[in-house]
Amino acid sequence: MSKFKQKLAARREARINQILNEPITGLLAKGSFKKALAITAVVSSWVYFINFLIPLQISNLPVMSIQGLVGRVSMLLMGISFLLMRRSVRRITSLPDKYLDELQIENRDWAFSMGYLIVRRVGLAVSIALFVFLSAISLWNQVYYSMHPLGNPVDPIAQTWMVAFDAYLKSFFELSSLGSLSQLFGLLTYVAYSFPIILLTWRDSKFNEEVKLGDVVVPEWAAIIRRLAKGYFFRLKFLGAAVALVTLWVWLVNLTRAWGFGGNLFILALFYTIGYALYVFGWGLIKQWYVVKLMSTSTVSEPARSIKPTVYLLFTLTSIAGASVGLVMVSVLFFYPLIGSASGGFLMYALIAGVVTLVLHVVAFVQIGTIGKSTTAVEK
Amino acid sequence: MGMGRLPKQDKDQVLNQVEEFRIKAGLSRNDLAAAVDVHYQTIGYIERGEYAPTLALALRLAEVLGCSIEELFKLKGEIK
Repeated sequence: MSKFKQKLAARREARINQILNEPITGLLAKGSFKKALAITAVVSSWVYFINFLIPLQISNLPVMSIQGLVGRVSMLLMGISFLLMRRSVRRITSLPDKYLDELQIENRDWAFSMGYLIVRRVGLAVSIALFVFLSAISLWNQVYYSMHPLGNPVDPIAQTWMVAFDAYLKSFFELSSLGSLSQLFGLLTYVAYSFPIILLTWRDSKFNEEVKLGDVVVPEWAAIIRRLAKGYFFRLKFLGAAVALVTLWVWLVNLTRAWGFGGNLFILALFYTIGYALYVFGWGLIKQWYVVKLMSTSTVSEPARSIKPTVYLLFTLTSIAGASVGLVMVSVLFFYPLIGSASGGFLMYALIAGVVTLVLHVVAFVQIGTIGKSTTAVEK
Repeated sequence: MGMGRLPKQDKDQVLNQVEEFRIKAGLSRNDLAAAVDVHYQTIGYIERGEYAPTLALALRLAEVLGCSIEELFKLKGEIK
């Protein structure tokens, strides 16, 4: 086996162990929540699609901004619901057959084959509808031409309809052809990826029994929290590299005076870096809460459990600091005309609170990593 | 839409007494699931009649619950 294949196999094995050792508990194991996730994914993708089909009202600024907001919110909901659904059924979708029982294998196969069959039929129905529409127009024109052999070969009414329909289709690509095509392909990819997961989550939701972390045995808890701490610092290093690159870019732009192109790319890079920073913060917060809950289970050894109040305190402080940064940023964004010149002070607060949040998170994960390294698991 | 293994005809529906035998044996769903090596949700599905297990699993259940497979599972058509 080549080194690359060996690395891939080791990664796959590590992923399997991670899934086996991190049972799905709490909300994600609750039937009603799974149902809500499946409904959110379906409704938000339909809202996104319908919003896409309504031509952008360029001349009406308030309506256009609502259209933009609906598009962004529905896309966000699509993404969040998909990720949560994927996590809630990942045992079934990601583990090899030998780790699943016969019903789980049957449910998984049913969801993927049913997803394929439905998507296939929807595709066929859309194609047939377009074919029937074009055939009807063509037939209509032929009938019209046979009735008026000396006149225009195309019925003026049909012509008007076709021109209007064509103008409607063209309107999608008026503002940005690439943007509209990306939206369309993005939506198709989302449907293909999420549909089997939606079906599986819906079927899984029939089991309405919430699982608490304390009910399940987590023998590898020390390894889990070690991995969580490692995962946090890996993400943090990546974020640090992104910030360093953005800073370097600003320096280079200033040096070369390429303000136009350089400035645009800077804004784009900054936008993605802020998005990634928010993801790292959210991920860290969720994992901190998971560790707090894990500390309450009887599987965890006594010395590790005694550290729970400190982990909990750090989680609370990080949440408060993070929420205050978010609140200040949102306030500046929405109430800038009211805040005006004071916004500089608000942003300074956000910067300081942001650094405090980062420090608190780092301290929390250093501690989590230390617990994982210094203790051994005690079997239930 | 029913699961693949569920029969289309009503008389072929499999009724079971897994829950009754499990309670009599003093086992929780988790215990029984661990004993027959399936996920505990699967036991819930079987008990509610939403899933008819394979013959292999049915035999394992009968063995763990200390009864015959005929006592545990019956076709709806057999019950008069």
